[in-house]
Amino acid sequence: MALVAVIGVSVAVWALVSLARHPKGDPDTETEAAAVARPGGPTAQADLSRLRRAIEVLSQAHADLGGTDRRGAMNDLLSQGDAPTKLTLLLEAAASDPTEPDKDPLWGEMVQGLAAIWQGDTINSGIDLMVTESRPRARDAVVSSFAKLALERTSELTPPQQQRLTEAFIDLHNRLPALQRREVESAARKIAGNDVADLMQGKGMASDDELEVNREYKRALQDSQRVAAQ
Amino acid sequence: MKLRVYRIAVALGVATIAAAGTAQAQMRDRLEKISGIAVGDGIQKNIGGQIGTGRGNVQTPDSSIFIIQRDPFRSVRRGRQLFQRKFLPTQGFSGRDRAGNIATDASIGAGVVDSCAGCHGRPRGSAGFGGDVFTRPDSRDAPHLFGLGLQEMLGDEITADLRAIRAQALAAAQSSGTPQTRTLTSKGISYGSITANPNGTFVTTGVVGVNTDLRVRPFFAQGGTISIREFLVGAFNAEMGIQSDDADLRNAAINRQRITTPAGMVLDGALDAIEGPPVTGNNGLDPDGDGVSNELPISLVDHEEFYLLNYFKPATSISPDRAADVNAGRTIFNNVGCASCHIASLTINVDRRVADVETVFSDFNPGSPTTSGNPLNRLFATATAKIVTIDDPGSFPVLKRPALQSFVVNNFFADLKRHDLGNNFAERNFDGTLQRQFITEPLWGVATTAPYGHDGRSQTLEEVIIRHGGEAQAARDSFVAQSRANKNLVLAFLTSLVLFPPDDTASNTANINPGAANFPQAGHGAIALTPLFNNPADLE
Repeated sequence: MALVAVIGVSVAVWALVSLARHPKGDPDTETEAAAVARPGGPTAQADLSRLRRAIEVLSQAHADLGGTDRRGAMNDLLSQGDAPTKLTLLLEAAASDPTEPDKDPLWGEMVQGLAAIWQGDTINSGIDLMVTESRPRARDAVVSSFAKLALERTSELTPPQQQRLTEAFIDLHNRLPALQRREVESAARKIAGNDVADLMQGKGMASDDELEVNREYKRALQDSQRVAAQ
Repeated sequence: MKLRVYRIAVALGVATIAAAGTAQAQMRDRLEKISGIAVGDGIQKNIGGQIGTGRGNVQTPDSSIFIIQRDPFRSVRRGRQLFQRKFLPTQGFSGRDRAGNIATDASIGAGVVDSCAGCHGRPRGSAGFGGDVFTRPDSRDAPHLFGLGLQEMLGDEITADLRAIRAQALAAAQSSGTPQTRTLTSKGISYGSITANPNGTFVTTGVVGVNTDLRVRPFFAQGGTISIREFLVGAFNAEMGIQSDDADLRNAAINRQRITTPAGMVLDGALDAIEGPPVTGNNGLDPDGDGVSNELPISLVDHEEFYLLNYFKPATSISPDRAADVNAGRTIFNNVGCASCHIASLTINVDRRVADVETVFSDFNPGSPTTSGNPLNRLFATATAKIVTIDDPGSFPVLKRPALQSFVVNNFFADLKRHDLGNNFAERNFDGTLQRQFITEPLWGVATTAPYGHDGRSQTLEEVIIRHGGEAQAARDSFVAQSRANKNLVLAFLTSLVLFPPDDTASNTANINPGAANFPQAGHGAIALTPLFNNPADLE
């Protein structure tokens, strides 16, 4: 059932992209290649079969988690050129894979594949996806991909995106598994500073001078008092 | 038929215009017997012009259905102008007879005001907040209406989820022949549990935060009303003496029909207790005896509902020099437990609005007028269309319908549940009883809306936090235990959640123009809808 759903979503996403490329949906302007590749066409059917198999492979238990079967399946998904389709497939694979992320040798590749999707305005949609994705393992993969983005490609984030990502990290942190918590704490330290990261780790709640902002405020206050006293 | 899909977000990107007009909290129309209003100011259409050709349909020019579906931004603007309109006695505004039992009819204590903006008019020109009204012995504080449509949609979708779970429990009970218990969860929020019996009855003692009918009622502090349409028709009557024989509410409430309003809200009188209109066939068309009948025609209700559905959500104002404090404060807010009820983000599956407006801090920068805030409030709003257009047969303008995509409501901070907040929050009713359960107040806009609490009896944010008890006792105690410095960080975070005056806020539909004479009194930018009309020269 899940596979039917993902293919349905994938086709719907594909259709949206197609409509965007041909806003009027005029069949007279469709090329032969596009007709072959459109949903229901021979190429698309073959692709869907291959991708269906890839997700099935990843959804099964494997003795060798880094074996060629799983790796080949993951590569099939990662090789998808169309970003919306790739995103849909990777999330479905993430959701259906029973392997614990910290024991999964392919987890990092999937996270990298997701992180590569986040470019420009899609970053905003991706941050929303951290909130909307209800399948825990898929949500965790998205979170990990944004932690990676924040750590490795900070300069690609606009100031509003940086702020929005900080807010999402803060709001999600308490609900995440240990692995993603650690990743989010590191990412928050990079884009939001030490205080947010320290507070996420439970520090800074006990006394006045544990947080940098409070120490800085106190220092400024003392400076002012010193000047006033002179 | 040609269907054009606007993918994800299509920025409106309309050139700045000068015809957006300025705004006041309440307005007269220029065609009334007053003078001195400059062209471009005030309401450009008289009440008859706003009524148009009635409700009509998509083939009836100048009807509310026609405008909502073919020129939706005009409908939003018209609803806004109605919201600001100072109604006259000749239009049905009246101080109605306030005799009666206030314990059974709280509206007797409502104020007498000549416009919606009289109670919901701050910040200037917005559907914001206002003063206290005497509908309870200790008053009720008029809330702001920013983001009202998002609240309606969230409440409605949660209701549908909870009822679907109830139906699944019943089906399972009937097929198994044994009682079946299901947890009631929607959008990550728990509403307890329900048990279905094979005979079709339910055990609802486990249901929490919502009535046993599982209908979330997002409006009024106690969680009393389902929809914007009921809310506005009721307020027009109770506060302004302007009465509507609204056919949609009549059919849903009295005839127990399932209706869909022009704004897309489904009201099903067979499932829910819908609030009926004050005027029906039973009490005539002038029950307040002021000599004016049909005081609020259905087309005006349609535009007003559509306006409030689409009304802008609040802003976040975080200047770079405050970001560290605000983000630390937000983290402490989460750590002390406030976020267990004040949930930051919730997702709407099907967004019925035609646009979203995202408003954030942007310092005044004359060198970048297309993204700069103005010196008045240092905010910049980005409007994004969320429509599909359908070119139907005939010569009329294309249909512009909501794209019905999902939408993440960020910085909302509520769970749409009722909670007992302890003795300090309890509210006296006129009959001596106490109201103890209140629906979680969304914190968006909270920086701008002092005083606080359903009754406005707490003057500052810190006072209203400390006032919490009951289910919020642990979070409240955890906040109180924080150092003075950490409390200040939480308050810094809360003061980043602001409302704004739309006509004084620069946006991508009307940028700042620092070169304008008398800038920023002129050329300060606005969230302008007029450029989005099919005919921008026809002003509202």
